[in-house]
Amino acid sequence: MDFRKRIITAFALLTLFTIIAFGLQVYIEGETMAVTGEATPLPLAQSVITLAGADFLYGPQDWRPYAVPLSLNTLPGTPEGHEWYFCFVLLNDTPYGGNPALFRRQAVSVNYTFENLAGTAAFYPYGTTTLPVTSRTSRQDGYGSSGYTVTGTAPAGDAAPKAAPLERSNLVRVRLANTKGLGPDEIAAGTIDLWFPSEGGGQDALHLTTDLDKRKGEIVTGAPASGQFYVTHTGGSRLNLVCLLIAVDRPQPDTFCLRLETQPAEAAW
Amino acid sequence: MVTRSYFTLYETAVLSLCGALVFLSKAFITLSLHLPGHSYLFVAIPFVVGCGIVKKAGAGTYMGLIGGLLASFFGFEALHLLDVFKYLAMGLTIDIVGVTFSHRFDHPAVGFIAGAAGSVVKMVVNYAVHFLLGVPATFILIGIGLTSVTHLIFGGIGGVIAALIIARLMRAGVIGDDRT
Repeated sequence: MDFRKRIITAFALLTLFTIIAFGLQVYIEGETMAVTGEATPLPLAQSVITLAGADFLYGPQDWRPYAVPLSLNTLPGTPEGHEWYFCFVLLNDTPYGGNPALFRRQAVSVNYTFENLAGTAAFYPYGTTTLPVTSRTSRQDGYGSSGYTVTGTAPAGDAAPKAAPLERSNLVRVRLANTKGLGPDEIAAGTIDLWFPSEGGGQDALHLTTDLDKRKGEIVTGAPASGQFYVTHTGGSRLNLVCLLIAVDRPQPDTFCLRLETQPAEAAW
Repeated sequence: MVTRSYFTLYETAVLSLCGALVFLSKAFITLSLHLPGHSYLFVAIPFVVGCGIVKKAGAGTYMGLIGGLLASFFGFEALHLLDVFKYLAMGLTIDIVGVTFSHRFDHPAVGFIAGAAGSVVKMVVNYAVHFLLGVPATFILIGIGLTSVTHLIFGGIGGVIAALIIARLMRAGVIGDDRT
């Protein structure tokens, strides 16, 4: 075979590989849709989320998901040795802080109201990119660290009956708490996958702040039972979805209620 | 009786330097493109240049071994020791391309084929290692079509750049041309 024919054959093989890869992608997406009803979760049609004590599906444990487990007891005011119950709620929008020529920059505003909160509640952001499908979360110590805690005075409730510890892995499938009351088309099977391939990566893109000028976030402790904070993003990759991990350090009473209202916020930067 | 090694001392030195450049270009040169496989634009260059200078089967595999071991020992990537396999696979693929095209790495089309094929094979091996480590196949394969295209394009561009470098070095007489 002469040189030119070999080159044409090689290009043909590379093209064939790409076509097969696309075929595989379409097939896998079809299979995923067949199982879950949708390939990926879509933004919620509604922005108001109401949670009760029984919605804390995970715990008791003292860590949250990452490439290596991150302690839930590192924020100031969070007592050492405590174990937490937590849940994940999907937000109805995603923040973006990357190249303004590609997408509109924005943050996500979260208004919250706790009723009859027992002990301390903490918020942590999680997000997932599209290509590659890897996750992001906030840093909780050092430069760019952020966190938000609220302390309540209500008496603790009985043990959370639905809660179970999360699998200790850098790839976890977690069930969302805010599928209740929503139609089946709105969230695919009510789960999302969080994957952190390597330690050190994916930990400095999402932040919590009460001031949009502090886009790298801040640590707020002892916040009032009702207030507002923002989820900001300083990474380059656009996020496919963003959820909040809401943790409480003891079982909540039957009268506990958390109301979240989220909406996009114009970013000043 | 004196036995001659497969690679001469000069070739071993060149390939070791190129293998180290593979690791350095992967670890320290970054672009804010946020596209999968974009780093192989730089990684493909030392691979193809090394194979173009030495022109022996096994040169790419040797560079892959050096680059993979350095990446493993420095721990810059997620899979640590298992990262050796993807660098080895990329080097082996470029070797196969070299043998197929009589080591004509000064030709831009051959450079593109070597860089692109090496990059996509590295991607496949990376996915295979993740799969064997227990990551669900559906999770890995969602997006494989787009990822293949970006790996192919960026690896190919790196290969073309390397081919232009080799052609220029040949014209300058730095690298010998076997065809003359």
